[in-house]
Amino acid sequence: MSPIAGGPRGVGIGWRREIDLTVERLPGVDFVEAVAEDLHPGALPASLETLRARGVPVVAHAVSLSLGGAEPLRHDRVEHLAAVADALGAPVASDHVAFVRAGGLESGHLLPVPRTREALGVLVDNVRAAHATLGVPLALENIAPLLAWPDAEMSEGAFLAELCARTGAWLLLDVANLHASAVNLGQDPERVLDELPLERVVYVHAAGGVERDGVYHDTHAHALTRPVLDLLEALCARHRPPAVLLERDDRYPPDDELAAELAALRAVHARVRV
Amino acid sequence: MSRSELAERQAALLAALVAGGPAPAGIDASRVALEASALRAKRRRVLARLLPVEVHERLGADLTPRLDAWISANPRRTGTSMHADADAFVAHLRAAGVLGRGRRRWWSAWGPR
Repeated sequence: MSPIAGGPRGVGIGWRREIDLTVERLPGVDFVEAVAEDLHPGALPASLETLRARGVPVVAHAVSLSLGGAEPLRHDRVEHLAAVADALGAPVASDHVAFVRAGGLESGHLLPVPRTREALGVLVDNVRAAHATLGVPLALENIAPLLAWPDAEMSEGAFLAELCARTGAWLLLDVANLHASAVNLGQDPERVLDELPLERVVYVHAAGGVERDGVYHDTHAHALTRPVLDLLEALCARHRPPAVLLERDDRYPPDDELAAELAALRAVHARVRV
Repeated sequence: MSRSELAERQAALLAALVAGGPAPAGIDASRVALEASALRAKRRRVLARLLPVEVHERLGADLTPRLDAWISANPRRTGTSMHADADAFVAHLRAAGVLGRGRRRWWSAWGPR
């Protein structure tokens, strides 16, 4: 069961224009996720309409709200996400615990926020402001960091737990990003799982990546790796999330390889544990 | 720390990552360099995907160094979409005489990010 009404269940895949037909054809796709910044609410791609007509839930995922940014929230971005979520009939919208703009510049990718009381306060304000505009529940995702701010006052798990408690937001837990934090920052992923309110996880992201020179790069362009599947297993052993989604953004493999990755996720997710 | 101080610290990190600023105190400089390189690679990938076939054909192997030079010299300003970024790069190539003066609207509507 999903903790939110009509929330995703089972196994899904990130819908991308480059693999739209593949996503429509793949067996065992229980839901999909579409990136809001790639869509226009008034002109949804036919493929997403096809999936919706089949009853496949579509989750709206954003990358540009900059919820962790200390500058004023860009309401136009939130309104765009709200309009896309509405057009998709999405049960939930999501974005990251990150910032992507500051000082007049755009990063183009998700950057970590310091884990301080001050930064948490900024996130709480921004998430509340986003809630006021969004017509659907908002789920917040942990990112894959390459660097860390000094002087963290809280662990990642405690930081996210308090963010959820103060805002009522849900969690989109990315197990590949959890692995990235473990490799790149030496964070214990099991401790994060212990500290997170796992009953607030609406869905899980899993993706492939590659380790180079002791640094894990969350590429979404390589095959799923064993440590990521093991973290999904560790999560499911504590509290089985309602849904898990495969993200693939580049260097698309043959359809049967994507099908095999979905099957691997399903095998872990659906396993009966006693 | 205040909200404005946090804003300044975030701006300093981002400037270090995309605009050649110094690595902020307390953040591992080698990781700042690594993140900067990752951001550059991502922008290069996205731009390459958005550019018209004409640009790929004309520049061939010269495209990557030209993109890298463009990216380093032109950090993306707030509110500039990746489409506008690609548009500006093409305009820059035309101004430099590398490309002819095309009139056709070459970009695709709402292409990949």
